[in-house]
This record gives sequence, structure tokens and C-alpha cells, in this order.
Amino acid sequence: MTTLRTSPSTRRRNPLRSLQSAPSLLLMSVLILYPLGALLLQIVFPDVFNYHMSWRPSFGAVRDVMGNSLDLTAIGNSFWIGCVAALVSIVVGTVTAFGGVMARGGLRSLISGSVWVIFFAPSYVIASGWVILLQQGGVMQLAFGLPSTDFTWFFSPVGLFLIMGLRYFPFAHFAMTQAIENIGPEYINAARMLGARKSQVFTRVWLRLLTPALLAGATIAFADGFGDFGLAAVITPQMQIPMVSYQIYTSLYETPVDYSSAAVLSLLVTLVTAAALILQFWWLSRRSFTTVSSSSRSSSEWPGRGSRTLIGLTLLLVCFGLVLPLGATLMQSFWKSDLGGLGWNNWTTAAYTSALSLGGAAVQALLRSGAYALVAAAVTAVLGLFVAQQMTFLKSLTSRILNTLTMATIAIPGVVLAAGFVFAWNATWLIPLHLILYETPLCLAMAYVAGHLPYTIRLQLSSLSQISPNLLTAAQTLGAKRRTVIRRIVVPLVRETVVSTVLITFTGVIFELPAATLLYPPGQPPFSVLVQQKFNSFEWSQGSALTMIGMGVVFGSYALGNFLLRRGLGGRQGGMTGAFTGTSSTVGTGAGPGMAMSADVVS
Amino acid sequence: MKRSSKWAAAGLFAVSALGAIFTSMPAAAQSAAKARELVIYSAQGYDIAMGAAFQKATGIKTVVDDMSTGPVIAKAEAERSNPHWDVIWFDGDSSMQSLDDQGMLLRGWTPNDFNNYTPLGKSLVAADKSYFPGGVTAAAAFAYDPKILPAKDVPTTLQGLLNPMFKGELAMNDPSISGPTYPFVAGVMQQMGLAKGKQFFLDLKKNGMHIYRTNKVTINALLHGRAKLIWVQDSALIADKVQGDPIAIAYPKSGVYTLPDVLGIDSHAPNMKAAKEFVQFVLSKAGQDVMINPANGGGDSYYNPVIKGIKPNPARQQTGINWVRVNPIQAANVENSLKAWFNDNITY
Repeated sequence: MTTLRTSPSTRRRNPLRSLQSAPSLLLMSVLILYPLGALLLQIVFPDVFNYHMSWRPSFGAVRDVMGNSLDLTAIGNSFWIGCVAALVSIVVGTVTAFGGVMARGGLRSLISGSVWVIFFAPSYVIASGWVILLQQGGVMQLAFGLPSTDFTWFFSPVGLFLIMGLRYFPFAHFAMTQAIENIGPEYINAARMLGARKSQVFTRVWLRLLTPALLAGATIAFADGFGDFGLAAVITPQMQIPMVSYQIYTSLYETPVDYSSAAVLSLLVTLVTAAALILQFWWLSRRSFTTVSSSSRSSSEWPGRGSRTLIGLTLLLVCFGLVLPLGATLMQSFWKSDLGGLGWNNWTTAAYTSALSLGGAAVQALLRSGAYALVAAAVTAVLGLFVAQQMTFLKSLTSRILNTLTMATIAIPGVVLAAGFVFAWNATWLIPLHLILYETPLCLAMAYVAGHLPYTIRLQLSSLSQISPNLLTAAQTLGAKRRTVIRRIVVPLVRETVVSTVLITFTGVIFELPAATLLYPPGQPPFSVLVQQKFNSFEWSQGSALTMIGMGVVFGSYALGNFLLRRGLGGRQGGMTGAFTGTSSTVGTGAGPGMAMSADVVS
Repeated sequence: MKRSSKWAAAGLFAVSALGAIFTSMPAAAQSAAKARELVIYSAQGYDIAMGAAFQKATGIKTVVDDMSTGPVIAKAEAERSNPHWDVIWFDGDSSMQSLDDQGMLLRGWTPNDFNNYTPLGKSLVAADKSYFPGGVTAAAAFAYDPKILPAKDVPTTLQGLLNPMFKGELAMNDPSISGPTYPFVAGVMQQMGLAKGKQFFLDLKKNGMHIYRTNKVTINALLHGRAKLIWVQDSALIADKVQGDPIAIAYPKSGVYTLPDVLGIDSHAPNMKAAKEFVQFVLSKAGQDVMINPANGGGDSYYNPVIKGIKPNPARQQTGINWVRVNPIQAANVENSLKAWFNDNITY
């Protein structure tokens, strides 16, 4: 908004311009760069955080990783399984996007709501659900008396990329839904009038125009799959397929603990993911995929009746992605014993009663996590908007650095950042400054903010990018005061994104595990740590009950967010989904790569 | 002031406000709290009850961080330049030995009731007195359903497992995933020698041995009839038996490998005096009474006591077990290579 009155030429001449973005850079440095640097430093200086500090360089860790066949296999596996999973996810996401757009009324809300819940549900909850369902002695076997051998195929690469595909398809779904709505009937009608057959319309119009959305969905699915610890922790050890995220996990959590190797592998994960994102942007910048122009109109209603088969298939896929794994967890939470199966006397609510007993550890942990989540969500939303507006309106070298930074840091696995926080905020040089923040609530809150800030910034960037300067100038020329411009144009455009980012951070924090495990203040475990404790001590019913309670909070937050957007804040028809799928259709220039961005930030 | 500068000023203000919060609040609060608190990083089922009992007995404010063994060690390692913990406590002396090898543990201190240790207990104390056992379990015992496998057919030696009767009917855990399983694989190697030990596992594989992920899955395999005999940590078996599952437990006469829970004190413990008092409390009768009660520790309470005069939970057999102490130094040295070998040759 500031730049409305400064012409491009004055902008270029201002030597202090870079300094104006300094607060954003400082913020990113404190929250992300410093902790990450503290960990990566150990690649070359392994003893820098020892009790007797030493700056003696060593490339032992790099040699260890490069010489370790298991690590190399893991990197290769992660790569090809990530690619296949990305393919599966775009196929599923394309089907559900078309199915969702074709469906009407309640069915449409059901599909869009379910996809949102899959998107919000933490990976390890979905993964645990599949394991509870299909393992030997699992729900499927007990409930239907199926032999355990029927599911051995699941604990193989096939099962892994199916789970990953079904876990990550929401990225493709969101991007595609928006793209399909933006294309509108004009292009299709034009093609049909020129004599194109249905198949030609699909391959020559739909597929071509949907390329950015497909790419965005696939890239994010790949990037997320490559570094996902939730799946790694639950699924990988059961399938005995080495994956790079699990190798990082074992170098941190199995003796002998090896932070240097973890740092080398983390750097690799970050580089590969960043390369995937850069490749996507390069591809999109080669030509225009603009679907929104001044003369086109977006249409959220599918012309005609739509295909019942496709809608049915969509419901089936949503069922596989959400209902089966969560349903299994739900059943387990009501069982007295695993052996009892569906017998009438094997059902009990004891796990819930004990979990919810007042003053119990679970209630305290849930309240604690709720407080962290609220604070982190509010702070992240404010900081995200602040940095994004600086990047949008202060075009400078610093902004370009910030742009690269926020893209690269999306790829950092949570556990890596968390380990970095331990080293960074427990470093001996901070003792005289009284700045040892490690194991304080503030440190954990900072880690939560740091983990969610890059996504939030990317989301806000995409919503701010739609605000064409011309639009603001036009409003001002027509006599609108600055306050009116902000209230009537800017706020409506960023509002949905703010609510979405608040919700993403809030639900993310409730189930966040790596930072919580490594950073929580002694004696005050957050909710996710408690859930994990129950699963670790094989109290499956208790663990499942707590998971379902947490998911209840996630469902509740989603409903509240939707309600606020539809009613309280007077948002557009799209509600929550509109925050991702409807934004670029409203104003000016935001389609094409901008649209792709809106999906890539939500990983 | 230009508007762009206003944004920058607002940003700077926000950052400096955050900075002010960082500097003022936590450090002061933390240093005050640190002076009083005893911090325990632990992965034992009874640790929270033990912390509460110790606080009640001594008035020392005690905070217990209860995690699984992996994160406990990862946290301690990450803090090695500026440790926040006083006492660390988990199952497995080979992992504790690796912390000691890095100089992270207090050495050469003797608890005042050291002589209350049984001979088995004393044998499990670190040579440099850097860690102390609180109790011991068998890293692996046999379990079977007596209705399906008569007690007389249960092997008394490891070689008996190669009997054709157990073709495709024996199961154990994967040492790369199940924490208590590595010590027993290391124990077999120690007892038989590395080459013969590896050959023994290869022979078991040839005889159709199943490898499942963890105790729970392996026990389920027995209960569902997919294996006649399983070989897992005894405290997990006892906890399952107490719940009413139809299993019987047997200890091979040829030897049972020790898996002690061990306590170490941070060599730079912020609260050294209280840390020593805590270790002594765990080894005292009052501490052992807390540990041995399954209401406090669940499955972990079915351990074999190593303190004179402490009676084990009646559900567990204590006499007639031929304990073989697994050398933690050797086990720690070959841990990575042995796990990798097992993974490549036996698990797959």
C-alpha cells in the first residue's frame, strides 16, 4: 500500500530500501536461520557443542553418510517412492477435485470438509490408523475374520505409496478445484463449438490449463513425502524399507545418537525439496497458464449434471483417505482387549473416562497444548502477514533473499528444526546474556511459530499478490480513504487466508510431536507427547482415545473457522475452502504461478 | 516519515519487543527454578510415581520428564554442552555405557547403601561406578500356550530351538526396532562367539523363525496361533499373563541375558546433591516399594529386584534363572554393525 505513492524509479534509487525489510530478515534469522545454522554447523564442526567446545573441522559425517549403503539406499527409496506417491496423489486429487466440483449441496460440503480434515490430520494419526486396521491381529482381521496374509502386500512399497498418495492428495485437490473453477465454461464451450470431441477437450483444454495446478500438487506431495516424519516414525519401521526421513529419525533417536549425520541427511532433504520447488517455478515461468482474465468468470457450479461415477469414486477415495484409518482408531479406542474383537462384551468407554477425568494428566496436557496453539497461531498469523506485506510491497534484495528463504525453509523437517533449537537456545555463549531459552515455554512456542511461519508467509504472499496496485489506485482515485481501501479491499482479500493460517497453526501445534518431544519444559508435557507415551507403552486404547479427542478438537476448529468465515465475518460462499481455492478468482492478476503458490504453501 | 519507513519502524518495534520478552522473562524465572528443582530424564513406567515419592520424602522439588528411551538419550546428547538434567534412567546398560564413554556421567561415586545390592546387582554396576541398576529383567524368555505346546516340549537350551518341531513356529522381535531385543542378540553373540552366534541365527532363519516388530506384535502372534513359541522380554510377558492371556513363561537353562534399568548422574548436574539422594532413594526399600507396585509402573514393575530383602511381584519367577550378564562395553561397540548384519541376513 505504501508503494502506491512511490513510482518505480524512486524505488530503485532509494539506497535504504533493503534496510526496510531488515525486521523481517531479523525475525527469520532468530526463529529459523540461527537454530538451523546451529545444527548444520556440526556437519563440519562436530564438537562445537560438546562440553569442551572445539572448532576442529572434520568431514567424517559426510564421509559416513556417503559411505553408508543404508543411507544411500534410503535416499534412493525416498526419491522414487516420493515420485510415485506424488503421481498417485495427483490422480486421486484430480478425481476428487472434479467429483467435488460436480457434486451439489450437502454432498459437496461433505467432500470438501473431508478433504480438509485429511489435510489437517497429522500424518502419524493417519498412519497409525492404517496400521491398526491392517496389521497382524488388527481391526480388519478381527472384525471380518480375514487371514493376516491378506494384507502382507500393504507392508511393502505399494502400501507405502498408496498411504502417501491418500495422505497428500489434498494439495492437488485444492489446486485443481481452484483451477477447474477458474477455467469456467468459456474455454470448454469454445472448444466444443470448434468441433472438439470430449476426449480432445479433456486432453487439449483441461489438461493443458490444469498443468500448473497438477505440478503444484505433485511438487508439494513429493516434498512433503520426502521429509515426512509422521509416516516415517509409524510406517517405515514396519515395512522395513529404509527411507531418508527414517534414517534421520534413527540417527537422532537410536544409540549412538549422531547429530552430525542427521545434519548431513537433513541438508540433503532440504536441498532435494528446494530443488523440486525451484523446478516447479521454472516450469511455470516458461509460459503463461493464465485462466483468469478480465473477461472470464469463475464458476463454482459445474455446467450440467456431472458424472455420477466420478462423484461416487470421489466418495470412495475420501472414505479410503479418512474414514478407514480414523474409523479403525475409533474402534480401537472403545475396545477392552485387542483379542476380543467385535464381541459384544469387548466394548468400553473406560479409555475416554480416564482420559477426560478432571485434573487428569490428559486434560492438563490438552489445555496446555491449547494455550500453546492459540498463542502460536495468533503470533504466526501476525508475523506472517507482516513479513509477507514487507516482501510484497518493499521490492528489494532483502525481499528476494526472504523469498528464497521462505521457500527453502518449507522443506525443513520438524525434527531437524527442533534439534536445531536445542543447540541454538542452549548454547553456552548465551549463559552470560541470560538467554538460555531451552526448556522454557517460550522456546517451545518459538519453535511452533518457526515451524509454521514459512507456510503462513507463502499463503499470505499469494493472497497479497492478488492486490493489484491498479486496484488500490483506482479506489483512491474514486475518493476512497485509506481506511476504506484497507477495509473494503485489503481485509476481505487476506481475511480468509488469516483464518486459514490461524487454523493450520492451531491444529498443527495440537499434534506437533518432534519439537514438543525435544523442547517441552520438564514436567509439563504437551498433548502430543502424552499421546505418544500411551502408544509407546502399548496402551493402544488410551492412545487411540486421546487421538480421537485431539481429532475432535481439529474437527471443532475446522467447523468454527468455516462458521466464522461464512457468517461472522461475512466471507464469500466458499468458506474455508475459499481461502485456498477461490482467492485468485476475485481480483486482477493472481492466477498462473500465483495460483500454484496458493497450493504449495500449505504443505 | 514515509509510510514505508513506518512499516519498517513498526517491524523493528515488534522485533525489539519480542527481544525484550526473550531477555526478561524466562532466564530469570529459569535460574530461580533451577536452584531448587531436581530434573530427571527417564523412560521407566514407575518414574513419575518415584519422583512424587522422593519429593514427599525429602521435600526436594522433583520434575520427571518421562519419554521413550530414544528421545531421552537424544535430549541428553543435544544438551551435552549445557546439561539441564540431573539424573537419567532407562532400560539397557549398553546405551548408558555410550553416554559414559562420552564423559557425560558422574564416575566413582558410591551410594551409601551399595552393600545392599545382591551379587547379581553388584555385577551390573558399571566398572567405573557411573551407573547403577535399579532392577533387572530378562532381555528374552520363552513364552508358550501350555494347551498347544506341553511344558515338557519347551526347549531348555538355545540349540533346542533348532528342533524340527519348531519349524515355522518360533518368533522373536526385530532388534532394530524393539529396544529390549538388541541386548539379547548381543548376549547370544557373547555366549557363543560372534561367528557361531551369527550361524545360530542363520540356522534359526532356515528353520522358519518369524521376525515381528515389537513385543506386542510377537505376543499377538502366539495368542493367534501363528507361532507356538516366542522369545521376548520377560516383563512384557508377565504383564500380559497377569492380564489373563493364556501364556506360560520359561527361562532356558543355558542362560538368560540381563537387561537392567540403569540410573546415571550427570557429570555436571545442576543439582548434584539432590541427584545423589535420588539414586539412593531408588535403591532404598521405600523406593523399591514404589517400583515394584504395578499400579505405579505397569509392565515395568515385574522386574527382578537386585536389592537384598526386596521380594519380586509374586507373578514372576525369581529362582532358578541362570543370569548371563551382557557386557555393555562390548555390546555398545558392535551395536551398529550387528544390527545392520541382523537386518540384512535375518530380518529380510
